[in-house]
Amino acid sequence: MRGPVPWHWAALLIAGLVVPSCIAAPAPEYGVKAAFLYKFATYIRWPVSAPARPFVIGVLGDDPFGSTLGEVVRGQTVQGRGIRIRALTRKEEAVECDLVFISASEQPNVKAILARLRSTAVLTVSDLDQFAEQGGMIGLVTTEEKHVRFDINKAALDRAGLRASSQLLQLARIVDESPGGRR
Amino acid sequence: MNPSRVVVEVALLCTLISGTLLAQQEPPSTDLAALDLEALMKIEITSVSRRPERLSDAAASVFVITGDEIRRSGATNLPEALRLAPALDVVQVNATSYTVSARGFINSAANKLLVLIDGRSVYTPLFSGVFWDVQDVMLEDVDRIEVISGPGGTLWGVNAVNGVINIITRSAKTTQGGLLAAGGGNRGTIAALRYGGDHYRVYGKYLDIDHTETAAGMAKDDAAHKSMAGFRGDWARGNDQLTIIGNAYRGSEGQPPPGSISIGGVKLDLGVISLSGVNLTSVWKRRFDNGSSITVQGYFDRTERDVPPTFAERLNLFDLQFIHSWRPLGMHNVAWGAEYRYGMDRLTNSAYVAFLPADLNQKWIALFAQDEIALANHLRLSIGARSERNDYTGGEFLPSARLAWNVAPDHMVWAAASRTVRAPSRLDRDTFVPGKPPFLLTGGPGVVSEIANVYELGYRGQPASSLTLSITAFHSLYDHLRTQEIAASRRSVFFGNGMEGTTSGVEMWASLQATRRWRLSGGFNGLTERFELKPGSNDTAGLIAQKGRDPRRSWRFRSSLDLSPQSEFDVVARRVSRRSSPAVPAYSAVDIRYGWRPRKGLELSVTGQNLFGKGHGEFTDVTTRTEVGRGVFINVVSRFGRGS
Repeated sequence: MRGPVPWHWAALLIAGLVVPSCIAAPAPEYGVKAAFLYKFATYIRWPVSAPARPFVIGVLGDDPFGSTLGEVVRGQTVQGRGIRIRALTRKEEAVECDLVFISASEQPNVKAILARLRSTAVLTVSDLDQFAEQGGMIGLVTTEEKHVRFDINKAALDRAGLRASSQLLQLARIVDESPGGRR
Repeated sequence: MNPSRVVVEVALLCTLISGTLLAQQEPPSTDLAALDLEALMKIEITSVSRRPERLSDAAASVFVITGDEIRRSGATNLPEALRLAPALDVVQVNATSYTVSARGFINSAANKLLVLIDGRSVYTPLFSGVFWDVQDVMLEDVDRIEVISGPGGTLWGVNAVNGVINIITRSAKTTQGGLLAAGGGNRGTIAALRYGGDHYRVYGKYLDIDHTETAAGMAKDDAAHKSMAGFRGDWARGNDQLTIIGNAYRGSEGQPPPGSISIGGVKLDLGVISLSGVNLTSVWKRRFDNGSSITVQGYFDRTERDVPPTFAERLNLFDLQFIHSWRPLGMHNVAWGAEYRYGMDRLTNSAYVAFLPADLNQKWIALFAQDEIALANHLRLSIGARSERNDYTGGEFLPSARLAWNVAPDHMVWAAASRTVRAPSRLDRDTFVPGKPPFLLTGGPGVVSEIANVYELGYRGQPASSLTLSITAFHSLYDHLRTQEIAASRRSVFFGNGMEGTTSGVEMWASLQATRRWRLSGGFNGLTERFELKPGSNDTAGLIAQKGRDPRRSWRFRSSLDLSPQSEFDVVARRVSRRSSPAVPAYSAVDIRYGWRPRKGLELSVTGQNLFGKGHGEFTDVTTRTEVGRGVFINVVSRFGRGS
């Protein structure tokens, strides 16, 4: 029985070296952000649910996700509803969605977009700088170590009648909104 | 079943999965949806494409060095990091002195490039260039460096003749927690510590730089040490954003021959240079609901430089800027603003050289406006002008017109015409040698602004999803270039504007994402210069020197490979063709870096510089310049606390 033992040890040794990468493998930026969009949808309760209609995620502006958003939500549901993805070019179309991701290409228009969506039950998410501080609901922030964190503007959620689960709020950085945002 | 067998099989399975991961390079997107929020927050992301910056639309030759690229290059100071920009000519003269230039005109006092660190202009009105030995930041905190080659005078003012370098540090909220970096090698040691919270960070840094040697093996007196500390605070509330940044430094460096100021025929008793400075920048930005914004920025910058035995300088600069951008009509995008700058320069002159008057207060006032007009769906015209007033030459006018045409979604062709100006500095006007009459150099009372008219044509695009490409061709006409004229008496010289010239060239770079974990990039610069003395000028020596300073060609190549999620391997190679005055033979240099993260928050790296072949000189005379030889640098970066 001497033969197989060194082989076992070698396997363990190799495994020991490589296993951590099982967990820590980096993923493409917008694959991770797409997964966050889906997660937000599951951790937030909308005021009225329309089960007959699919849950609509809109991407406003240049689509940074490519095919990944579709892959992430394929076969998934939000409160029993199927998920549909729409590419949006005009802010007026955003009103028809449940969740809107505002792309970096819309930076110059972000205030106008948020003004249009104000107090509607549309969850606004973006990775634009200072998005939540500017009146957006959830801002995705990339840290120095290239992890994605998120900011939540609770005032904006409350205004729209959206309720975030306590778990979501615990993991978020809660940001203030200025009096300017409430005007 | 034998329990140890189960363990082995599980381990093997995981090995297999890891192998698949390595082969596929990433987890399938569907798996990401299965992770919970906390696990998602722990995933490290990789960006394949450059961030979708508005810069990609700019009708100019723009290259962005990301913070990650700086880290992977193994650079330990800003000029070394700038070597990543294909359009820049970066040369090392001493252990800590570098010169950086774009599109020719490199010089010990290169004066046609504007450099900003977090919006603060770091050029000195002493020679309208940059003292690179005191420009430092915590490299780990740099978000990106935007390098614009070509004229930027309309937006940035005089001095942005051949380019603008914009060094931008990260906002406080992206640098939370602690970071300790310590590194050392045969060129010196560096230690840095930073800690940040939600809205602030503070840092301290210490450098000890070893002396270098000349090609003949003589030790140079250029060892240096420096300590610096600073902070940044960022606050945002609704429509308002406030940023306050402060830095202070102190240090000293040896002064090897020929010295900071060399005077022909005079042997100076060169002493140790002492340096210090403090600066504070504050930026307030308000965005309005209609898409317009107002930015107000103010800064104070004090620098002290003692250069025994030739001169000492104490300079206080105050700068205030205001920019308003708005969209009055759908097709217009207007930005206009004003800048006021006030400098209080106090020089201590010596028997060898004098800046007269020794004490000089100067002010600069500028007004600028630019309108970007969407002529058609894919055609944008940007016209702008800046009017700037300085105490030496009065008003200067810097107009530009830029046209961008998106021929297809991922292909842009652009063209630009600009007039740009380098206004005289104290060196041009106020320099006298020796320190007392009778003078051999009698300043340049008649020196006017150097002028450049620049025409550019460029393409930038993504011919394939994994390939980005940028090509720029330029043709620049220069007039009133500075010369040193012999007076009619033949007993003294003075500065004049007796040279004119043209430069033509091409800048190109490409980046190929060969696989998910392997990126290749390359760059090429070609430059043709013609200079002539104007009637009445007798500065033939200056003409010869000007003609031979710049290399006609340079190449750059870079490979960035992720060996595994924990390790990375980078190679940078560059080749620079010869310079003739002073003579510098063509050289190639290869740097290699291996980085390894044994565990989360800890990164070890080893960088080898100029690994192959013998050493090379980069600039100035062979008897005094540094021979840049093989270098090794080992670095440890540890992150702890909130951010990790």
